[in-house]
Amino acid sequence: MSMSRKPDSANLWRTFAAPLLILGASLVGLVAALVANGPGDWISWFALSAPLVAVVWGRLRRAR
Amino acid sequence: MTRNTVRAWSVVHKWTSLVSTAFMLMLCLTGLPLIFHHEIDEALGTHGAYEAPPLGTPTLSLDRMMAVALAERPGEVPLYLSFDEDRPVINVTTGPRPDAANEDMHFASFDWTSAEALPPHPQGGVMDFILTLHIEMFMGLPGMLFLGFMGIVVFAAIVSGVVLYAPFMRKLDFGVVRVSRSSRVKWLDYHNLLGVVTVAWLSVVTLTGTINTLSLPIIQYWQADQLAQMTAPYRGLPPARAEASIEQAIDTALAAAPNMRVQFVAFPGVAYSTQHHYAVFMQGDTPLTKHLLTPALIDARTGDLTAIRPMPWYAQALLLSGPLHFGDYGGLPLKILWALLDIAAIVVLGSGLYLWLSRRRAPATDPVVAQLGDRPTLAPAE
Repeated sequence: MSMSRKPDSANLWRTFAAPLLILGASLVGLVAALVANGPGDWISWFALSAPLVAVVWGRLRRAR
Repeated sequence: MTRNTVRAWSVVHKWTSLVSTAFMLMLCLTGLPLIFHHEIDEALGTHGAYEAPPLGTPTLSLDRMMAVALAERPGEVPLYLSFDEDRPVINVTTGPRPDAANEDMHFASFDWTSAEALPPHPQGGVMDFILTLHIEMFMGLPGMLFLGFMGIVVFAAIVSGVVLYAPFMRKLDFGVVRVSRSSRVKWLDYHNLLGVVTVAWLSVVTLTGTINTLSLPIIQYWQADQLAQMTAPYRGLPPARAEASIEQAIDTALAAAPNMRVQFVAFPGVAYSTQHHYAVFMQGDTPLTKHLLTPALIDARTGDLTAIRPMPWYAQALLLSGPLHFGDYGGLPLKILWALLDIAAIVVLGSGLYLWLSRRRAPATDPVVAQLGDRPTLAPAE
């Protein structure tokens, strides 16, 4: 492993793209139910499910 | 990222995690039943049987309700009056003195339409034990502040974990769990996956929990800051007796803020009020503003409005930290999601602990495992 090599931005984006999407969805989920009932609750439930969906997806994915 | 940088972040992650894991595990485990506090209390019948009267049944005067409540507690003074949201029930807290300690306070609920007392709330049950353990570990304010400090340490562990995610996952696709590799590699992948997907939720719950631990200092600062400004003309006057009608006091407050509803009233001398006022705390009528309180100070002797002012930003932050920490603002589905994310956090903690405990037993034949040893060097993803 070469830790001294600077990671290129494309590689960093590839590493963090999915986590950033999940982070964004989680924040939307955390806020949605706080600002609106009804649709806000539904948005919150769907958006905050993103981390759990990702885990299930990762678990079902074929291990390398 | 240089090797030294990664090493530094690794040290931060290791020690902040080690210091806080035991407390974090306790908080996650006790937090799990607390998410369903309301449902568990209902299932156990803790709230007692109560059949709500038909809709539209007229409510009684609050002054009469207070008289009934105080008649049941001779020698005590009223401290707080609060209102249930979904049923015509009022709750009266009394105590021997306005500055009574929590353990000396008495809480009773009454049907607002008949003035009948509801079955008393049992004290000291298992949920109370769990709640006290979660909030202050039976150590009062020092326990709360200690847990608040632990929250900051946990947040440092989260941030350092995110930084370290990059070198670990450099050559791995997102979500990969190498189950065919050693147990240590498999749990490393689970730790990384569960850790990174729960970052937002865990950060919010951790930071709001830390803010919640500061509730007493925040309220004390609000008293010294805003409340003192609002009641400056009363400075130096002897404490007033609560002579004015509580019903009229509430009407006066609502007239000053017509689109709000009363959440609770603090009587003269208690922490949320002054020596001379009823503090009528009102909430908005939207999902967001119902968490934000606006106090109206009503002169306890004359019943006149002294001042009305929204709570300052630091108190609003405290008020919003409650729902964002406990996840009780989006119905049962949100509570279930909260519980699942809490379980995910427990797995992150447990797997992190396992990776640290098993560091010396790792076989050197596996290049990933070998570099996850005691020294804070990191393994490249393969």
